[in-house]
Amino acid sequence: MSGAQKISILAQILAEFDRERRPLSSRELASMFGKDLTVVEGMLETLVRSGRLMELGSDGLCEQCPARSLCIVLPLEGCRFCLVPHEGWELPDEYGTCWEARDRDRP
Amino acid sequence: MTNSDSNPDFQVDYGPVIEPEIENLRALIKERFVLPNQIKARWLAVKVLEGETDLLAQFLGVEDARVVLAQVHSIQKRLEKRVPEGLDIAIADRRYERVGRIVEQSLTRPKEPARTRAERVDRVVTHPWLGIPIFMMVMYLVFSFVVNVSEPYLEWIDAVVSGPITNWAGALLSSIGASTWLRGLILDGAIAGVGGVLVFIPGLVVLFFFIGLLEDSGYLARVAFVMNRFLSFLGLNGKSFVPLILGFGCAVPGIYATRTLESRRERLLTALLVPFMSCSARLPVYVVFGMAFFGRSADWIIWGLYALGIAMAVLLGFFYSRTLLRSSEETSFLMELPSYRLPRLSNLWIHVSLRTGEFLRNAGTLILAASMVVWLLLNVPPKAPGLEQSVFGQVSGFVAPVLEPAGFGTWEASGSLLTGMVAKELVIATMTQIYLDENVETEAESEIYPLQDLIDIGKGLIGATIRAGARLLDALTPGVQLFGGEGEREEGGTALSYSLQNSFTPLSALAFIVFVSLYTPCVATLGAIRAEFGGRWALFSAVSQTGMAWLVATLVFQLGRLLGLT
Repeated sequence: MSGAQKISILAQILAEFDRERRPLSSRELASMFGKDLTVVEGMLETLVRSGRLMELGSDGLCEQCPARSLCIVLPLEGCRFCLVPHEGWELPDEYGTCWEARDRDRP
Repeated sequence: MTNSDSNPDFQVDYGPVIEPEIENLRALIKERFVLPNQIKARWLAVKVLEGETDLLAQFLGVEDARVVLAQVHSIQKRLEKRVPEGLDIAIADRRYERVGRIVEQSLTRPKEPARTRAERVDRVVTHPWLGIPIFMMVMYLVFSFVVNVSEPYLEWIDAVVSGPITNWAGALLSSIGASTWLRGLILDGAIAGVGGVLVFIPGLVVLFFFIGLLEDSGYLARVAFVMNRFLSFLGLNGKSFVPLILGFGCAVPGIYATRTLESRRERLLTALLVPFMSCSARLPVYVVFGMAFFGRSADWIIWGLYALGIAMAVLLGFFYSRTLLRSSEETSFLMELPSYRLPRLSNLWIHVSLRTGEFLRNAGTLILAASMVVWLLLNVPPKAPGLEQSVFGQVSGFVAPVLEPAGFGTWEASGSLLTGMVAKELVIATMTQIYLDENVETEAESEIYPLQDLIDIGKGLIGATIRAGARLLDALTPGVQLFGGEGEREEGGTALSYSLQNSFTPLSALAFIVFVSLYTPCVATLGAIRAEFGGRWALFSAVSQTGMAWLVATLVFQLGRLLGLT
């Protein structure tokens, strides 16, 4: 076992969210990492419980989003997740979208 | 690595960094405290390191828990650098790894899963060649429903607004001794202007309903997928489809939704194309002119105007992406198709009510205020011999010659287009005030019969519903006329439709609606472009779009004349 050297799959998922800077669905992640959907859903649930991720659509975060009705992430089966808001990943404003943070911290 | 209180066969190995710390903690708990029988010290140690520290107080009591907690904090501090993802994540990860291995050893998967019904449908609707024609056909059906189903209601609301409501308001104003100008402002300004727009609510409800139906069924996501190849021709990708299709409802959210795109170039290019998608506020203009001049072909004309907007966006997108906004950078588009599902009524209700509510709010605020301003400008100076000599008429007349080559160089048409720059709903609101004031004499409303009026309104609604149902069935059976004759459509229309027939020819009417479909949507859209990309691009959008609208409308009119059309 090389626990310290090997990057954990959960850490890789978080890194993917950080890199993409947009919500990702469990199916999308399952396809990215070549894992079963149910396995990834379990992992995402763990990350939500640990306070790293949040599930979209369940608490009105998307209420103000102009693209909500056509969101290509939200209507998908399987759950949709994004990073918990933090510096550089703010919640959408009146006309904001969950993607808007992606530009703010880009050089 | 094993210990006395776990079955080694099922024990997860947390690796050389974490495992010794678990063992230390396990030993501390085991040596110093007595746990309930079913609770194992190793399990508790792992859970506590994962962050579930409240378990300590539950099993050990508050005082003893503090001792263990101090040890946990010291472990967390020690491992901070060696486990940067966090202890909880590292522990969960080891568990998933173990589960993954067990599943791998025990599960046999079929080599190729059977194709589902949705996959079979997708093979057709997302077909590289069939996908776009299918989408265009679906959109034609939607517009056909909009025109056919909404028209009877449209005539009914028009009759209610220009009849009983105007009469009741007139009687009320007479009873309070309102002056002539106040009566004019309320009846000819506010009620005629706002009423002229409100009559289109049924059409918009039908449009929003069908768009909602397509969204909720999962079909629009397929269209985004189909459009990817098409949009890549414009230097965009399928993700741009979302802001573009939002533009069919209203360009403002469409502009803001460009934030979903990755590069500034893609965002800007998409934002410049969004206003070419015919927003719902332009639909009333199409319907009024369609009913007045094109009879049974109105739905084809309306569909053609939407298609024209898309075609212009394609042409300009192709041009901009190879000149102003050239880039060699290609972005990828990864999307997952949602399952098909039966649209839920609750979703459709939310969709229709939100968008219709927005239109109504607009009618009650901006359109109301602007209609009153237009009425004032049409009546200043007060003793002007005709509307053309009013301030509004003179300003509009100054612009009119520019529109002459397009076939509608009258002060009435140019004035309506000018107010349409504020909001497209104002084109019809202004036309209602100008044309109906010129052509229709307001009936005296000295006596009103509310009960009879209400009965007539109810009868009108029932009649409209029966006709809408018949037309829906006709629209669902193309080529088969189940109800009514060929000439039935020609009899329909609002009071404005009839008035327009005296001022436009079919060719100039076509050029006019082509202009409306292409010129800059409204100040709110320009404001959104300015907010997102700066004033220079907002100005560029306004000038280029209006210039393009003039060019295409002029081409339509002049080519039509060359072909001998009138």
